[in-house]
Amino acid sequence: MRSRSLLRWVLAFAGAATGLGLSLARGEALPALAVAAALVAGHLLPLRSAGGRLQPLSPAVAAAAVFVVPALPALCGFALGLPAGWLAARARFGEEASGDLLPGESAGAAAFAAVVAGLAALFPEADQSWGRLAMLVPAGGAWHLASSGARTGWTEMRSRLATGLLWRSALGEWPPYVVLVTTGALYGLTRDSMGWWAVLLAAMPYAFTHLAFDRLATTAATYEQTIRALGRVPEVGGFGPPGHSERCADLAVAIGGELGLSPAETRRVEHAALLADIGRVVPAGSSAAGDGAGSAREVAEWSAAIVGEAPALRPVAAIVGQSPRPYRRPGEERDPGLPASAQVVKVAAAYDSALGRGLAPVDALEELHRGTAYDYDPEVVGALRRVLVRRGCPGI
Amino acid sequence: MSTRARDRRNSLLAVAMATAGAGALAALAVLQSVPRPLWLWAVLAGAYVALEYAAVEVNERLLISSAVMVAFGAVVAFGRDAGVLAVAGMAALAVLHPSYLRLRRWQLPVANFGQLVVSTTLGAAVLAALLPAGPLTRGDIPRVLAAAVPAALVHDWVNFQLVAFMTRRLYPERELQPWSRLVPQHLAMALLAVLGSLCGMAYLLAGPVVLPVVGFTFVAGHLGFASYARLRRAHLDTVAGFVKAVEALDPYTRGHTDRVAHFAAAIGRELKMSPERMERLRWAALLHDAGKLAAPPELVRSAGPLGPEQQAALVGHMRVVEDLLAEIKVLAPVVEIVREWHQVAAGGEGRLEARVLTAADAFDGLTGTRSYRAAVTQGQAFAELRARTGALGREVVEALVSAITGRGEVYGSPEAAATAEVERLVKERAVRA
Repeated sequence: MRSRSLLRWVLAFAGAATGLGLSLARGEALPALAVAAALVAGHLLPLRSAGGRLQPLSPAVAAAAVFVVPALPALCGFALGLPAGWLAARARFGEEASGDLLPGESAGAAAFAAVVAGLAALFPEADQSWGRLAMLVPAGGAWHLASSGARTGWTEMRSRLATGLLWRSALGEWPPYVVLVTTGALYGLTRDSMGWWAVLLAAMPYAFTHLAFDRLATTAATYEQTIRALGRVPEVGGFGPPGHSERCADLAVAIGGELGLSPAETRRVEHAALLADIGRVVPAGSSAAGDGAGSAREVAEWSAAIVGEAPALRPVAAIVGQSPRPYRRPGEERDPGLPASAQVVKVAAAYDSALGRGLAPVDALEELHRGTAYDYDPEVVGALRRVLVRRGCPGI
Repeated sequence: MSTRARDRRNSLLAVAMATAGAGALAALAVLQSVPRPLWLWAVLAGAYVALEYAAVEVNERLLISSAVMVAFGAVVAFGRDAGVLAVAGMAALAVLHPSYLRLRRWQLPVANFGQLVVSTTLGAAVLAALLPAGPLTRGDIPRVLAAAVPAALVHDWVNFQLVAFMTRRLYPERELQPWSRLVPQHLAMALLAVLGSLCGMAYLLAGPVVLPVVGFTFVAGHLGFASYARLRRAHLDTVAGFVKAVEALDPYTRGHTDRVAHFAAAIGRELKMSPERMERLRWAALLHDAGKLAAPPELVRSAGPLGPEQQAALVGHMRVVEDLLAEIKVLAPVVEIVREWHQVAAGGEGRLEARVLTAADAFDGLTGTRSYRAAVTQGQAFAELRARTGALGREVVEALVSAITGRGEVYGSPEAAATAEVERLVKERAVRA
């Protein structure tokens, strides 16, 4: 951890010093400083993806630089501007939000530069406008791939979640890259013919899109908060152990990642785990429930009915409704109609309940292993085991 | 006026509107030249039609269509001699949108054809008239952008007046805000018009290569706003879904939340509350009973009215859930209203929204049957609320009475005899239970 942090600081200072030194030595300090200043500003006004991740405007600066700044000053500007931008973002958004920005942006910028240089060497006669615009498509894609890879490799979340899930989630956040590359290209394409009006031309559609992404990210965060709050309602009402829904959701996401579920399906599993016990409020008074707390199947049915009232959550309701089902019945290899997601929720809830009864993690896992004949899918229990190993659970 | 006569009048209005549009098109065909290059017109016309029916929800109150951006860009790109005809032609094509063709009421697309052609033509004509003569250069950019603002306002004003005219006749029950109160809408239109004109200049000065680039950025923004609107609706649906779960606990209160929201909105409109306050009131009405999710059964399904101690216990349980919901930033001001609703319901003081919510809740409580008593008549409910004007405020109670009677709605038991019958049924149910 400490060595990674040190590496980042060394990378930052080495990059900044190289960029500044080279640009001064070549007498091209002005364009390099302009690129660096644009990068710092882009780190202070980042786009937010729907998942809430910060994306600085560096791809836009790179795309614009392809049209308006010679290659070497642009590279010097990046060497200076990316570390400076990271420091600025760190000061504004904190270490947690900006921790992986420097490796991600550096890797992305390097891949972008390599692709542009390679294509320029391959097609030296490329037309100034259409040719360079076409060049930005693979270059922007390379930035996204390299940046996603570097950020996935850097993040602390690797100790909690499968790398595959983190990588797929990062790859799914491509829309900001498209917007940024096209915004930079728009500026670059019109800079010569429109002068400073090109800034307004690029800024106006970008502002519209920035507003859209910002609202989307804010609403997505609020929606998550709401689902988490609703998941805690049975707990605050005394109908379930405190923190059970949060712990189950955390485990279910990790198990889903180990099983290779898509990010969208993993999100549904997370919501299902959060809301699986909401049906416990029904026995509080419904004539449907009568007296008593209700069996696991009844609670799941009531939970699914409640969750299914929201059209957007119907796929989640389906997972909740199927979660108490055993993975196979006597005489069959496995229940073909039972999705893995439902088993993930069941296994996560059973493990947390076992811990809640005072069992040690290894004993709780053993209890699930004993249930693999019918109740718990051995593949899902195996994924749970891998999660616990990844998290350094004692005795496993 | 009979339905048939009204239909005939509406058909005539729609035909008149369409005739005005067709007339404008015919006049432009004579006065202007054909827009060239044709491929550019076809691309922009496709974008115009798509955007005209893909309005985006920028926030809770602002819905904008970006078609005006394409229209103004086209005027600049095709110039004074062909720009107005180019735009009028695009507006005429907008009626061919599939979702529009599916509508059964033919008057609407026909009228919309005329409304779009007339308003777009007038806006485009103002812009074209203000453009400098001769080929446009970089030095003309400030003048072009400045010309886009009055042109956008003319387009917006004419469009609003024509839509309002037709809406009042086709959908008389719909409430329309006056043009002067739609300032965010006008600002958005002016900005889009400026952006469109700037894009038109970029096309003239930098060539067609700018078109896909602007298109990509704008489409991404549109998709972002569309996802935002979907998510916002999902959020509302989710909260509403859980509220229905509360109602499932007690068959006597089924639909209560929807009715309280309806009464609260009616009072809010009568009191001329701002859209922001109306939105908060709607959420408060939706959430006011959410706290019952965590309350014990003997309190939620009490067979009789709750005593002071039971009432305090129920409020205590509800506060736990409300505290949970208050952690959600966007719901915090709404939960404040719900908390004050508890105070007002107990005879204390509270802000206007809390008093409106209390009046709406009390009215539904009085006009609905409970497990321990039957519904009262609407007149009795009004009298009961008028007796509580000290806590609720006279203006709130009178706004409720005015809203309900003004709409000709009737709630509660229709007559005293029926009330007695319901009381008998309730007693019978109680015995069976």
